[in-house]
Parts: sequence; structure tokens; C-alpha cells
Amino acid sequence: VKLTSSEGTEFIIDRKVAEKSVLLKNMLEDVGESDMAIPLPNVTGPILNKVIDYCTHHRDDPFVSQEDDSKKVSDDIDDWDAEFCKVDQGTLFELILSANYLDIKPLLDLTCKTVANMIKGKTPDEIRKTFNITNDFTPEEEEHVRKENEWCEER
Amino acid sequence: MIKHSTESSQKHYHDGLAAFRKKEFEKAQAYFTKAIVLEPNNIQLYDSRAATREKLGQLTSALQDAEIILNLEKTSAKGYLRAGKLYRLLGQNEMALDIYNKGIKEVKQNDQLLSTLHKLAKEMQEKSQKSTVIKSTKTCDITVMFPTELVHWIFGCLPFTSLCKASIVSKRWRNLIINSRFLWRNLDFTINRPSKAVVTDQVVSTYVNRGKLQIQKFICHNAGYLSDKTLKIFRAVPCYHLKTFELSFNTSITETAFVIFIRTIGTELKIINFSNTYISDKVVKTILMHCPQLETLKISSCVKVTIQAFDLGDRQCKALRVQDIDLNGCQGINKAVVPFITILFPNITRLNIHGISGLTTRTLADLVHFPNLEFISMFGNMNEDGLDIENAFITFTSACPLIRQFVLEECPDLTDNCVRFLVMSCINLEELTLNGSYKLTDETTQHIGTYCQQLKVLRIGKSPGITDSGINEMLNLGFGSLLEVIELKQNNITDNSLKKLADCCDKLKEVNVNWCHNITGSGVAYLVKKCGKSMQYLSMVECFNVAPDAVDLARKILGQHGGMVNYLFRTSR
Repeated sequence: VKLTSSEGTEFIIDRKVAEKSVLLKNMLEDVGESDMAIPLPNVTGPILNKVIDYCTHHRDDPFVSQEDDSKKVSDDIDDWDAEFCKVDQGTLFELILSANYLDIKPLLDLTCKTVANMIKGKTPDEIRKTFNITNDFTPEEEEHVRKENEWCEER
Repeated sequence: MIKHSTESSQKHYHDGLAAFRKKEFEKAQAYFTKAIVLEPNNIQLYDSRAATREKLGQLTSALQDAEIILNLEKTSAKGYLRAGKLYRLLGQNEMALDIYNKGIKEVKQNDQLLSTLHKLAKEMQEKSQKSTVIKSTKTCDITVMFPTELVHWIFGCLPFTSLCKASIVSKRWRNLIINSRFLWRNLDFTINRPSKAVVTDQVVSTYVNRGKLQIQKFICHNAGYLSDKTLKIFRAVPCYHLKTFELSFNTSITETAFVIFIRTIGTELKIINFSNTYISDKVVKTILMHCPQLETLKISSCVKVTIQAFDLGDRQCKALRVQDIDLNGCQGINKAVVPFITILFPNITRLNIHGISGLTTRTLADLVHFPNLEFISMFGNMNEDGLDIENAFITFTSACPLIRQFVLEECPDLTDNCVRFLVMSCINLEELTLNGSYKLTDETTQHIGTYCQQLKVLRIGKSPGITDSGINEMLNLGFGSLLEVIELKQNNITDNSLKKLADCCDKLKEVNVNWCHNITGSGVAYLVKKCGKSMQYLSMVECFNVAPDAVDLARKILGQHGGMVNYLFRTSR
């Protein structure tokens, strides 16, 4: 299967790898295999490269359709996946958007968990720093929300 | 001769150019290479070949040509332009800028291409500034960047306490989080670090009203400040989909409040934990009659519960799926509870009756009614009642072969043979806790070494009959590769046992050798040097022959990954 990224770089991958993406899987089922490259205008070359890395590594994983609520804990990330996610924030965010666009649930799950881990265990102030957010509460509102959260504030 | 070679080199060069124009790049490259062999100092030839290689996509070898040009003629703009272009194609914009700037310094003032270099350098400069701007804004608000459903997905991965903190980051975050009921389905008030304030009815109310009907889980183990109001809040919604309800360490909530709560919203409850509360028999009975989905019932240290709680008379028990019962430390319950439980819940896999008084050999034999039992925890001596302890073990172990965790502490009558029956029948044993069995000898460790290849936890403290040679023999039988926890407190073992353990068990997490007076610094140092990386906890209370430097070494090695060392010495060295 041939894919082209937004800047026109061509990638040739196995059908099995491509089918990790529900979007591509449906497309391939609709049009059948052809020599025409599938254009992916929303995905840049480097990001597509990463996505293909992921799909190739996980090509033989069973397809999980319905994600179990109990699996929604952000701790169980295996070594390969953790290493895969060691990228800068911009790349990570682009990966999330691409995984969402290409409809690759496990990759979306992994990347979202990674972002969740950037929030986990942090104080509101630390979260603001991580994501470059300004605190826009008025002093009264601030006092109110602080009170509400008092029970889980660290001593 | 020189003239001749220059002539034929020029011919090759022109043939190359012709091929290049016809886009026959492979051919062109071959001509240029031939020309270079004849005229290896002509930079024009290298430049042409680099251009050809660039077209062929061989960027690295093209770059090699560009470097040759730079080596041959530092003062010509050609090499810098070529190398810069190649770096840009390779995506290395910073290198390209470097090359252009270098060129501006080196190239002769009268070179026509100098102005091009200036132009490109400026272009690259602007580009790199732009990209650093992009880089700095790359750190940005996920709630702005992503569609709402993705933001909810991310927040959905957060544990409750993190979600609370995220909800006060900014107005935007707050709106997105507090208005999404689904995010508040798991209210787990367990916090790892000490907090400023306590969980009150008001606090619970805030979050219950956010999750409303979506709430599936409520966990609060520091519930001391909660009153009947809390249960009323859950009823008011009403939270019909609660699956887990854990509220422990509370003495204020009344029987009536518990009973009404269970009757109203107990239909989907799977896990109930009311440990360390004042629940009564009536509350337990209500649970058994109104929670058809119940799987786990934990009421440890509920002092008001008596054996009557499990006597439903002719009323029907609806909790038929119960698998896990924890009655640890319920003072009001005695051994007579076991027959009641066997009638009510024959399918249970986990039973904790640690601290239930008056256990006898009959109690152990009664457990044969639980063929699926995987975990059993008991405490105290087994007085003889109809059959002796070894026969009770034969009966029990042949009926319950699935046992994974066996805990029986402070049972002085336990013999080596009891252990033998246990380990021979229960081949899945992962935990064996037999602290305070005074009769055990090295025969026990030999049985363990022979049969318990899966064992992860072994606690045989306060067994003076177990010696170095027993430990040594056990480990020589190939046992120990999976062992994570070992407790040998108050035994007569020496450094030899510690060293042998260090040699044979590379997964050790926890070692307890409290009051082992024969242990010295040399054994401790050997252990932590070998196993320190995996160890989380080393306890050596009153091991007063351990030298301070060994204690420091242990603290240093375990401390590197957050491990703990417990080393209180009250007795003087």
C-alpha cells in the first residue's frame, strides 16, 4: 500500500500494517488494492513515519474493539511503547491528532495516556506550567476552587 | 599527456551534461565520475556530480562531493551553496545556515555568487527564528488544540485526585471537566500523600453531584468525618449504578442509614467494604438479601458483627455470586461462622478469618466445602476436635487443591507433616505464611524446596527449629528463583542464610530478619550488594550485631529507588 504525507513524501507499507488504521482499512476494503497512493493531507512525513513504526511493531496484536473501562488506567504502558512516546510535546500532540484521524485506537489510547501521565500527580500550578496555561480565575473564584480542592492538597 | 587527459575529461563532462539535460541521471553520474578520475581537482566536475546525485536522491554522497569542493577551494561560493542546499534537503536547517555564514566569511569579495549566499543566509535566519517561535508555542493548552472528545479521553485516563486538581487549572479546563458526568464515575478518595483537610459530607456531595447517575465507584478509607448524610447524598441522586462502595474507618454512620442505603441502591453493587465501621448484623443481613451482584464483602474489624449476621433463617440469600469474604479481626465472630458460610457461599475463592477465635481442627476440615478456595487466612492454635491436626490437613488439602495463598499464623501445633501434605497437594502455592509455628524444623524447608517452585512469599518467622542448614538445603533444591518476600524473624539463622538467599533469589523485594541476633554487617552488605536493586524493604529490627556502616550501605542502595530499611536497635550493641 502506498501512502503520501502532506508534503508529498511517499511511504510503501504492508497492507497488514496499514489495516491497523480503521480509516485505511475501510478505504482499502472499498476501493481494493491499487497502485495509486493514498494521500494523507493531515499527516506530515515525520509523524507518518512514527505512526508506521508503531503499526509495524504492533502488527500482530489482536484487534480490540471495545475498550474495557478497567483498562483505562494510565500505568500499564510497556517498555517499547514508553520509549516510543519519548518525543517532544509537539510531536506527541501531532501523533494524537493523526491517530485520531487515521482511527488507530490503541495508538490513540497510548498517546492520550501519555498526556494524562503529564497531568497525573501534579499540582494545578505545575499543570499550568506544563501546558503553558494562564490562571484566569478571579481572586474570589480562585478562593472558591481552592477551598473545594483543599481535601486533596498536600500538606 | 596532461593536456590530453583534460581534453577527454572535458568530453566526459559535456556528455554528462547532455545526459543530465535528458534526465538520464545514472548515465550523467557515470560520465562525471570518469571526468573526475581524469581531473580530480576540478570543482565544477564535483558540483555537477553532486547535482546529479541530488536528483538521484543520494543526498549523503552528494554531500561528500560538496565537501570535496570546500576542501579544494575554500574561497569559492560554489561549495557552500551546494552543501547548504543539501543540508536543507536533509532537513538540517541549522547546518545549512552555518555553512552559508561560513561561506560569507571565506568567499572572495568579487565572487558573483556572494550576494546569493547573503540572500540564502538571511532566508535561513528568518526561517529558524520562525521555527523557534513555533517551538515555544508548541507547549500549549490541550483543551484548545484537540477536539472535545479527545480532551475527554485524556481526562478519562486520570485518577480521581488528579482530575480534581485538573479541574481548577483554568476556566476552560474547569468547564470541560466539571460538566462531563462520565469523568466523575470513579470517586476514589484514597490519597498517597498527607493532605491538609479531611473528607467531609460536603466534599462527597460536591463530587456525587458532578457524576450523578454515572457514578460506579466510591472509595474512602479515611471516612472518619462522614455521617449519615453521605449515604443520603448517594440515595438522593439515586446512584443506581454503583458497583464498588468502600467506606471504612468510620464510627458515626448508623445502622438505619446503612440499611436504607443498601435497600435503595444495592442492586448493582459488586464490591462492598465496610471495614472498621460499626455496622451491625442487620446491615450484613440486608446486604445478603439485597445485593444479587455482590462478589466481594469486606467487613474486617467490624466489632459489632456477630455470627447471627450470617444466619438468615428462612429468608432468602440473594448474594449468590460472592467469592471473597474478609472477616479479619471481627471479634464478635467465632469459628461457628464457617458452617454458615459454607451453606451460603460454596463458590468462594477467598476467605479471611484471621483473628476469628476458637479455630479447631474441625474448622480446617470444614473448608472442604469450598473446592474453589484459592486464599485462606487464619490465626491461632488449632485445638484438636474429633481429628488430629495432621489428619485435618490431609482432609483439607485433598479437597482444596487450588490454594495459592495459605496463611496460618501462631499455630504451635503445626508439624512438618502438615506442611508436607499442603505443599504436595497444592501445587499452585504462591504464598505460604506460617509465622510462629514452633514445632517446624528443617524438614519443612526441605519440603518447600522440593515442591514449591512457584512460591513468591515465604514467611516462617518465629520457628526456632529452622536453621541455616535448612535454608541452605531448600535453596540447593533449585527453589527461590521466583521468591520475592521472605520473613525469617526471630530465627537462629546467620549470615550464611542471607548470603545463600542473595545468591539464589534474584527477585527479592522484601526481607525481614528482625531479632535475628546472629546476623552481622557482612551478611547484610552481601545481600544488599547483590539484591539491592530489586529490594523495596529490608527489616532488621534489633539485629544489633549489624555494624552501622552496613546499615548505611543498605539505606544508600535501597534508597536509590525509594526502598526502605527498618533498623531500630533498642538493645545496646
